[in-house]
Amino acid sequence: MGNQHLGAGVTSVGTPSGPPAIVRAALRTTGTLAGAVAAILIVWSLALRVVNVSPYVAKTPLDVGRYLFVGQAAGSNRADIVANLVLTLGDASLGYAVGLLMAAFISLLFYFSRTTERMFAPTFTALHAIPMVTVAPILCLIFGRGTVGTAVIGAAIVFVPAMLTMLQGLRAVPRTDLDMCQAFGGSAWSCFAKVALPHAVPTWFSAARVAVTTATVGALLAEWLATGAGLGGQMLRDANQFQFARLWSSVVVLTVVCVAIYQLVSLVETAVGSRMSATRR
Amino acid sequence: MTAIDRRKFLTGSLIVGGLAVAGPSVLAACASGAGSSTSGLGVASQRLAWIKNSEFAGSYLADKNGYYRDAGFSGSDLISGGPTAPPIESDVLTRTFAGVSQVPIVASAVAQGAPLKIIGAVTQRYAGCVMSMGSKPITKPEDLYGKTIGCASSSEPVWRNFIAALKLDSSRIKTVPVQGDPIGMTTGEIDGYLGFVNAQVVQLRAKGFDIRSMLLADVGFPLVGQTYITTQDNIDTNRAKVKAFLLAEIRGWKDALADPGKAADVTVNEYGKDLGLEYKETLQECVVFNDLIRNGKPKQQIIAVSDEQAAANVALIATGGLTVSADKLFDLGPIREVFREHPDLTLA
Repeated sequence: MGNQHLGAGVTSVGTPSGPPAIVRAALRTTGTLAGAVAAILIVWSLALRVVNVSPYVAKTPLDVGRYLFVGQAAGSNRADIVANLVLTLGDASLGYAVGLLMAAFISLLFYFSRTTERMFAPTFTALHAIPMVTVAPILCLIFGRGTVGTAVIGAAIVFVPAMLTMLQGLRAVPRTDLDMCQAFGGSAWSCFAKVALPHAVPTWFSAARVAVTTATVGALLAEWLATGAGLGGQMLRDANQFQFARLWSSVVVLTVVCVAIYQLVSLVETAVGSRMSATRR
Repeated sequence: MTAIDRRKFLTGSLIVGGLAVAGPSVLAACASGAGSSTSGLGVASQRLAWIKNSEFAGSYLADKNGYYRDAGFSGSDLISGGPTAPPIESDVLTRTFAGVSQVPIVASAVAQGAPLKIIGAVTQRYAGCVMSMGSKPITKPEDLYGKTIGCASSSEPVWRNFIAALKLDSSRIKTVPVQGDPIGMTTGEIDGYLGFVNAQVVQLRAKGFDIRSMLLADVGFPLVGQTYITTQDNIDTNRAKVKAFLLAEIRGWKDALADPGKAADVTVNEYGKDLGLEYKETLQECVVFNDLIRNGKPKQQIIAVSDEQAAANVALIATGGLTVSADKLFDLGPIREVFREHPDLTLA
């Protein structure tokens, strides 16, 4: 009976009629993206009209469009930004991967050992409260200014929020489900593998989604403070070289790419979530 | 909205332009030394290049000793800069009458059409220098090869320009971002740091480190430093105000040259009070800075820039890839007129 009920639930929630969940999610994502872009353009244009900043510094969406697509140097402008963007995305994915892996590992460690959690969770959280700007020089001294240093700075930014979210997902399993698993003789491991982990998957995807933005911030910070490379380094130089068209265009490109990746992860999250949450209905 | 702003700006300019007609008489009044101050020119607002440290001691003295008022202003407004402040050029284009910036940045703005001009320079030699430890000194440009040099992003345009101007091979010098504190140099993480001879050099020496410095201006990079900028519009419609501003600044800096102790005192105890500066260090900064203001020749007209210097600076900028002509970047007419009208300002 329970199974029948589950089946009915999935059909009524998942596919009333028409395209499957993933396609509808993709359509919704595209719609959201368009809406977000429109909102940003409007707020941006209005803000520039309100504040009294020289047009040589404050660039409008039109200026950015001209810089990237219309002006005579648009092609080389785009190529420059893309080359730096590739570096930044490389730095970001490094911090993203290392940070999330660490977060997954530590949250599992904490899940299995409350004592370890009580010992280290407050320390990790407190460390996160120290601004990276003040810690970065020390991290540079220890880990250098190369790949390792960049990975450490990026991971340090990604790690704590992701770890806390992941741990919360693992801990939020309904007590009754775990009790049932134990009552039927399940070991701690099988209770974890069969109940807690599947239950936590949607939350883990939320952590992965939020980490897209934090990893980008981490990469920019590493570039500002350690390597001077990529879009982060370029943007700081732009501000000091009066290259505001390039600065604003870089911000726009980075934002668009970030939102696109974020939506992509959301899409995966929806696909996985619609499968995983079915077990709970 | 922009149109309205522009209109407001135009009416504003017209009003001030009308006042400018009264300018000569104001100048005449203060030249006569009667001390009768009129406030016809409004507030002398100036956006400083950095926080209120010893770099602007001359302006503090001009304010404290009433030189802005003597020149016809109702008072002065020294607006602090710093790492989070908006660009100086932006403030000068929209908010303040004048500002303090560096030649390469102004040139970049001018190259993009910003209607700005350099009207004077506090230091004859740019204060930027490569700092290094006594145990591993960098004393000539060739010593830079194979070294890792820390550079704040605000100084990076000048640094890259320096490397290009001296035709150094940039692939043999590793530049890394070090924002602010060059302490990594003392631990060996970096071999050198692009600092200011009147700031980090003095500060690290005060902490007991054996610091060497190679002034960029002494090794073939004759950039003038701390340039005063204002808009073309101010020069065109408000020349009397531009000249009054320069007059006040020259008098302030003359005081700083004559008495660095007083300059350090007003910096530490009044204008930069919130910064918690050390008097002894600040005094040393002022002494070093005074040396950059002087050109070592008799009868120097401080703040003024010669045509040769302007041409040399433009040539330096060109090696960095920025082509701006000297008369597009500099307008040295007003300061020449100030010295012509006030011959007593010339140093002995």
